[in-house]
Formats: sequence, structure tokens, C-alpha cells
Amino acid sequence: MLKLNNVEVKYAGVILVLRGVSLEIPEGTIVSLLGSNGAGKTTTLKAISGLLRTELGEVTAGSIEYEGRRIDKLDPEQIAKMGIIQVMENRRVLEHLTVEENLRLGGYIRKNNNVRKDLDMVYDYFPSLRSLRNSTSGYLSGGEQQMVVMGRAMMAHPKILLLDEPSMGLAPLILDEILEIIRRFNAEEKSTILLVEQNARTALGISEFSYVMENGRVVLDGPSSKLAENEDIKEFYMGLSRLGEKKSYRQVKTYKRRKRWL
Amino acid sequence: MSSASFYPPSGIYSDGYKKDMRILKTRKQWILSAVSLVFLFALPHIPYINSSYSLRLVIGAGIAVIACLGLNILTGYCGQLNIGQSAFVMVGAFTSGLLNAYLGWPFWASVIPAGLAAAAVGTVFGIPSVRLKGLYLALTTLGAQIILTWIALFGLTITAAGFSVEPVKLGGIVFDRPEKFYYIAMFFTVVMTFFAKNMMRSKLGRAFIAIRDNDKAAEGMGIDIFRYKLIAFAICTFYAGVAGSLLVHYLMWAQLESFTLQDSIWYLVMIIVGGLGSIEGTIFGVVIITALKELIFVIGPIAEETLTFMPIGAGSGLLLIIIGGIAIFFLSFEPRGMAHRWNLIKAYYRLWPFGY
Amino acid sequence: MEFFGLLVISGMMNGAIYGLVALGFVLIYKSSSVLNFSQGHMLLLGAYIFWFFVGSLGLNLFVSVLLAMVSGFFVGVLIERLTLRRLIGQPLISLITVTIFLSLVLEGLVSLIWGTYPLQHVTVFPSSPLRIGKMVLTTQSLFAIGLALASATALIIFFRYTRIGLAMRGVAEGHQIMQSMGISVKRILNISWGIAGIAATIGGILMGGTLGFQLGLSHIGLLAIPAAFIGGLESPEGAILGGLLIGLSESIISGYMGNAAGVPAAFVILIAVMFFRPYGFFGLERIERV
Repeated sequence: MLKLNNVEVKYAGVILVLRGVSLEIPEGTIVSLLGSNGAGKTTTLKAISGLLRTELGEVTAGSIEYEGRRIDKLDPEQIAKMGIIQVMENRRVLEHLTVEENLRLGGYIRKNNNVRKDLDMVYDYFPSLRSLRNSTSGYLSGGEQQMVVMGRAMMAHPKILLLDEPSMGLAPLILDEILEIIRRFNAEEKSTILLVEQNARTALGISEFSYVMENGRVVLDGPSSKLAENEDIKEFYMGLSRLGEKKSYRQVKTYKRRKRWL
Repeated sequence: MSSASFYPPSGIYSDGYKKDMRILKTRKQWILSAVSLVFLFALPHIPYINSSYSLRLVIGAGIAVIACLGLNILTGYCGQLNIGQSAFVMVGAFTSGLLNAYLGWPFWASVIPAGLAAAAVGTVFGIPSVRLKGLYLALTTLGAQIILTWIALFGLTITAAGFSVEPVKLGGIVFDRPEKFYYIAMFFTVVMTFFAKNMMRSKLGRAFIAIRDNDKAAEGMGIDIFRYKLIAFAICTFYAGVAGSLLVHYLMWAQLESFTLQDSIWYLVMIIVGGLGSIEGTIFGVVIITALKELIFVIGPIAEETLTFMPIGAGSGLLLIIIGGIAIFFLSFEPRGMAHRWNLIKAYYRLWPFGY
Repeated sequence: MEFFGLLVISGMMNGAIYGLVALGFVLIYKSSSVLNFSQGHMLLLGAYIFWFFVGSLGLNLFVSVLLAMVSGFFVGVLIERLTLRRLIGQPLISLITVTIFLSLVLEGLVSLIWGTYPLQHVTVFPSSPLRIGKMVLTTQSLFAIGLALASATALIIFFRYTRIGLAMRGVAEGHQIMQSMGISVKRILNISWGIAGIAATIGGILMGGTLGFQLGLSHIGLLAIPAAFIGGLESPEGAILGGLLIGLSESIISGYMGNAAGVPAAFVILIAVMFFRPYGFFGLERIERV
């Protein structure tokens, strides 16, 4: 349903970040995009949602198609109206507004028909937000803010939800809550989810299909369960040594084993 | 914004911090600088361009450069917007003027006190920087402009009316005409520019830049931001004071009308068009804006006469539109000012045929 | 006592107009995070446009007011499209200085079209004053105060209770965030500048009727700045209150000290207030998590 074909992205016409990325996100699935810092994951999401242009970025080659339509040249507002909503990294709430006001703005593009119902839906997913509805969002804790930004995206009933590093800086317990909510949202609202994560274990655990990116390219893909067994993934992304145990620093060799997919 | 070009030509390298920090790195740069200085001071002797009119222009530009250097240090390097610079110029001007008119002090004795007086006042208006940032601080400088102007207008009758000031004297020479004052002006401009450049290359300059970029982080690194902000205000207004002192001894008359809010705005336009946080940028900006202003002062009346359907005052209107428009244009397309564009051009020239 | 009463009345009238202009500041600040230094000049332009309809074209007063307001809206939108649009994402200092330069351009524009001499007087208000005790209230004072209060109330309701008002507040928080939610930041900016244009025009009409249609009208913008800041840049209520405060203090101080001492005094008050309340009485505190 959402297809990226050999997408190339440059910032300021000079900095090449994506070098021919091809992805396919089937409808209704949870797909994860893994990679370490600087791999180009956030850029990929921004290319899809159109937010690149606000950062002097543009898709210079390849195409992005959603249900057959090319979307790579559209404005972010138009793409959002088509149902593709991105939750940006760093929990960017609208600081001086209350939680409920943030959520209301999330539902802005739905023309206000059922705001109450949508709000209730979100509070249903995130019960702790209900008691915080009139609090100023800027003062909330990290986990609460993450809930606000996700709830905000959910208010728009997205067909595709792009989540950028939801786990960053969150306590493991809150993280579990959020992962559960993601699963529920995918199951109940039939929303497709593209999840970008550095935390490989989390991502592989929740998604059906995964892509691994490095240096602007997709280097590995496949069903998540298979990738979790992949030796290279285990060693480089999950810190497990060949025998499946945690690495002890005593055993770290001074050279790095070459990854098999290069 | 460092002044050094991004890419020194190949073969030029530094083997130590001292060499790396030099302003003039290559032989060519030394020669060019020397030649420019000679040219600058020899200007009054070069036919075709040494008319009284053009010398007056250059003097005006020189004084503006000094005021703008100060402004660039505070606003460009340290990031504290100052919309009241011409009021501080006024403080220096009246200090120097009054010392001369009442106590008979010659220029050479009163120029430093003028600078110090302006610096003192400037530091006082810098005190709000302990609590206020950015836009809010800019407001207090606007307040400075208005309050100081009012004091000059209603505080002392002599400042309101305007009074005469003796010209600069040195040895037996009286510098009462543009052809003569030119040397004084250029001397001070060059010296002040040199000092500014050196200050900004030092620890002081780095502290300022750190404060501009992220003052909380700077504080976390151990920079006493309040103290440095006050120093920045003091330096900026000291420069303003010196510029003011030069101005009144040049015009031989001290009056309020020379120091308006509009002038403060012009100074700001100059450093923005030239390049914030860049010493060369200051000079670029002053030159460009002065040239534009002159161009339109000349063309304005002519346009008014030929296009007679325009109402009176249209010429000055055109002036404002064009300069304002250019400034806005600059900000939209080259927010880092002419200096940055110049650096890019130099880099392009050096690296050709490579792109980046 | 009478003198004091007069000062209070004129102070309130001026204050109401400062408040109106300050409202314009608040509007633009709330949506673009920019302090529009050219607000005073937008007032000037609005006043002159009104004069054009009423004085030059000789149209009916009421019609002219309406037409001027519509033009004011478009002036605001035009300014936003031509200048601010290109500068989305630039640092604050660029945005502020653009508005400063804009004031130059607007003054130039007005001079270009109508010249620098004051325009022929136009009576805006019927001259029958009201008498309360020994004091005389001019109709324009009442108009001004009433209008300012009405506009402020309208704006307060607008920001707090309507969708678009909420969207404007959101745009003030972050353009990119709003874009990611599908909200057209461009449209919101257009609307807020347009409304600011209308507010400026109304102020211009009121002041033009009082002070005459001349270039000095733009100086009102100058005094409205402390008004906006004292009240807090994000607050329409604050703008009106700040305006009244500045208007009153300016009037009283100038009245008793002479020499228009009220003007610098306004700024002294501003600096004093900002020491205790850096964000104004009703402003929003900066939320900084380092």
C-alpha cells in the first residue's frame, strides 16, 4: 500500500542521506525500521510525511507511492489529510497548551464532527491522560508527553501511523504500556504502523516485518522473527555474543567482525 | 562567524595555534592589506575621487563603521539585540561636546571619557540582561533610546538647542575641513576595527559567541554569562561613544537631531546586510547602505521633478521602500549577510572547478 | 480635580487605542512568534486608506470604515505573504528585524503615494460631547474605549473557544509540529495577520480622526509596545490592560510633569515591570527543560 522506490534524499542539495531506499508497507501490518544513529530512519519517515521540505530536504530521485498515488512532491498538510500521520521524535508537544488542547488540534483535520468521541477513544487508550487533560503539556514527564503526541496522532484516525523512536528516553514499564497500546491500535483501528526504532529488541518484538538501515540504505529485511534469529543482528544490534549470551567486555576483540550483508 | 575564509589556498598550513589564529595568513593577504591601507589614507590625493563630497561620505561611513562595530559585537557576536545604539552615540557625543564647550577640553582628552561615559550608561541598560532575554531585552534598549533622548531634550537646555564644538587640533593643524578630518576619521576607524577584530578572536569573543548560541549551555561550561553580557554592552557602547565624539568634533556642532531612532535602525540594517558576527561584514554593510542612501538622495529629487504627479516627499518615500526592501530581500535570501556571500564567492574561486 | 479627571479620560482613550494596537501585536505574536514592529505603520497605512475612501473618493463614512477594514485585512495578508512567508524557520532576530525594515518600507509607501505633508482633515466623529458633572467627554473617547473593549473581548473569546483560535495558539508553539498534524500553517498565518491589519486600521481611523492624518500616527505603535509587553505578549486581556495602564500613566505623568514626560516614563515603567515579571502580567512563561 505504501511503497518507496529507490528513494534518494538530499538536504540543502548537498548532504546525501538516503541512497536508494526501497520499502513496502502492506496494509494493516506493523513494520519496523531499525538502524543505529544516522542511518537515515527519521529522514525516511519525513520523506513519507512530507516534512522534509521544512528542513531544506527533498526527494531527489525515486518515488513514494501511497495506494498508487505519488506523494513525494506533496505538502505535508495534504499528505496528512490522506491519512498518513507522523509522530515526530523528541516528544514535541505544544508546550503551553493543555493536554486536551493538544489532542483537539490532533483531530483538527477531521472537521470536528465527533471530537468528543475521538477524545474518549484516546483517553480509553491512555487512561492516565484523562486525569491530566487540563495540565500544561510542557510540564509533563517524558512518558506522559509521549502519550500526548501519540494520542494526538490517533485523533486523526490515521491510516498509516509513522512512529519515530517512541521508546527514546522512556522507562521500561512505560515503554511496555506504550507498546501494548500500539498493538491494540493496530488491531482495533486497523491502522498500519511504521515504527522507527533504535531499540532492536522492542521493534522486532512488536512488528511483523522489519527493515534494517545503515548509511542510508536498506541492508536487510524480512519477517521480524527471522531477523531476530539472524546472527549479525544479534551481535550488532542486541549485544549478544555468538553463543547467545551477553558480551563481556573482556571478550571484546579489538577488531569488528564484518557484517555478512556488506 | 569566523572571518577567515573556509579554505585557505593549498600550501598554507599552520604548525601551532599562533599561526592558525593569524588574521593574515598569506603573503598575498599582507600585501593586499598594506596596499588597501595606503590607498585609504591616500584617497584625498587621488584626483576624480577626492572631492569634498566623496570625502564627506567616507568620513560618515567611517564613523558609522565604528558605531556598527560596537553594535555587531553586542548583537552579532553576543546575540543581544540592541535597538538603541544611536542614543549611546549621543551620550558620547554630548559628553565630548560638553567637556569641550564648558571645560575647554580638546578632542584628544575628551574622546576616551566620551567612550567611557557611553559605556557606563550602556552597562546600566545592560543590567536587565540578568533577567531578560532576546526580544524582551531588545525592548529595554528601545527604552534606552527613548529615555536618553528625552533627558537630552528636557534635561539640559544646552543639549536641546544644540551647541558648537571646537574642531580637532593636533600639533599646529586644525582639522576643520573634511579633507583634513579625513585622516583622523580613518585613523580611528582602522584602529577600532583592528581592536574589534582582535577582541573577537580572543577568549572574549568566544565567550560572546557561546552566549549567543546557547546561553544556558555556556553557563554550564563555566562562562559567567551575566558578566560577559555586561562586558559586551560596555564594549558596544564604548564604541558608540567614540563614534559620537568623532561626530561632533567633525561637524563642530552637537545637536539632538543627529541621534534618532531611525539612526539606530539604520545601524541595525547595516550590520545585518553586512553580516552579523563578522567584522568585515560590518564594513560591507556600512558601505553598501551608505552608497544606497546616497544614490537615492541624489535620484530622489530628480525623480520628483520629472514625475510631477507624485506628491511632495515621494522621493524620500522611495528611498525608504527601496532600502527597506533590499534589507528584507537580504534577510530572506542571505540571512548571514554580505560577508557570508563574500566568503562563499572566495571559496568558490579557490576551489574551482570543484563544487564544495 | 477636574484637571485630573480630564487626564484620566484622555489617558483612557489613548490607552484604549494603545490596547487596540497591542492587540495586534498579541495576535501576530501568538501565531508567528514575531513582534511586529511595523504595527504602528500598519495603523498609519490603514488610516490613510480610510482617508482615501472618505476624503479622496468622498464616500460615506460608514462605508469607508468598512472598506478600510477590508483593505486592512488584505494589507496584513499581503505583508505576511511577501515577507514572513520566506522567513519561516529563521532565527528570531531576523524575523524581528524584518518587521523593523517593514516599517521603513511602509512609511516610504505612504510618503510615495500621499506625500509627507499632513492630509486634509476629515471629521470622523460628530462633535457633540457628553457632559458628566464638570467634565466633558468627547464622542471619540467613548468610541475608542468601547471599541477597544469590544475587540479585546471578541479576541479573547476567539482564542479560547474557537477552533481557529486554538490553531493559532498551536502555530505559535511550533510550525513544524502543526504541519505534521495536517494543519495549514500558511492559512493560519494569513488569517492572524489579516486580523491584525484590521485592528491596526481601526486604531488608525480613530487616531486619524483625533490627531489628523499625518505621518506621526505611526508613533502610536511605539508606545503600544510597552503596553503589549506589560500585559504579556500572549494575552489579549493583558494587551488591553497594559494599554490602559500605559495610557493612564502617560497622560497623568505628562500632565503633571509636562514635556511629554509620559513617554519615557512608560518605558521606565516597562523596564521596572519586566524585572519582576519578565513575561508581563499575563504572559506565558518560557518552558525550558535543559
